[in-house]
Amino acid sequence: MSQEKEHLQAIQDIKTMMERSTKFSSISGKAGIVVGMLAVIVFAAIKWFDVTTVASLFVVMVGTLMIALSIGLYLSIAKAKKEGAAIFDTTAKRFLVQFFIPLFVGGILCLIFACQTQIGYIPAMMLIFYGFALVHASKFSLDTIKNLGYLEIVAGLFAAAFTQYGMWCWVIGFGVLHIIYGFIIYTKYEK
Amino acid sequence: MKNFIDTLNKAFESRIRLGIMSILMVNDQVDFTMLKELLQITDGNIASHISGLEKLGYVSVTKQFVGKKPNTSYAATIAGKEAFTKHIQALEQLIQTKK
Repeated sequence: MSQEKEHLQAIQDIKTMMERSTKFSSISGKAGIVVGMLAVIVFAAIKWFDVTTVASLFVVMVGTLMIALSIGLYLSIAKAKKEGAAIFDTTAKRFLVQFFIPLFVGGILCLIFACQTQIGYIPAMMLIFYGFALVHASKFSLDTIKNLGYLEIVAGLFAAAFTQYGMWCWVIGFGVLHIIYGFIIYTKYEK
Repeated sequence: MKNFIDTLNKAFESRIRLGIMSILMVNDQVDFTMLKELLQITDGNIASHISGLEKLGYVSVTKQFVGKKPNTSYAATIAGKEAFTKHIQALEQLIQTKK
């Protein structure tokens, strides 16, 4: 009986070691909530001040994205430092490379669309490529972000199909979904 | 049932060795600091277990300089990976037959 337990324990040890040495587990749930709220505020501001020109919308969206990424990175790094530097370096590097490849391609595509003044498709492109980035990088991080990725892609497809509601999809994808998933990650892994 | 117990590899009996091999199975190259932080044990302890695994031909050791700092990294050999896979299979079979 005790031997059986020992074997079971050994299997579990193997599993945890494999996961801990490959997965970047420091995604911050708090960052998700903060970023989501930021997106909602930006959306409200766009509606309030009635921003409609192509250039200003583009600047606001790109600016929001930059701030959001910085918040996410900053809070995740802060969380990771507590867990040990060497594990963080290796797993984070792998995660970030996988995460930024689709995001970078999506960013360039958005820029091309903006230059051709096809602004209507930009929310869709942002959502879809962000979703792909999450799904792709989830192999090297928390499984939860894969589901978030799928939902972002769905929101993006809706944004592309109904371009007149593109901004609404954008605020659901980057705002509401981030708040929900930030909360899920926070309660699941940080409590 | 006796057969299964025989297939368990004595080399992987210690928890530290089990941990080292698990990490090396899923990472191509792992350096000393990362092993230390993941396993949370002392330098000497890791070194002795590593050299044990190295003698069996399960782990290969590469020493090189990164800038001016010496850096030692470890990898599982093909023989090591095979032996460890067999060990895991034996563990699983042992658990299943007892259920």
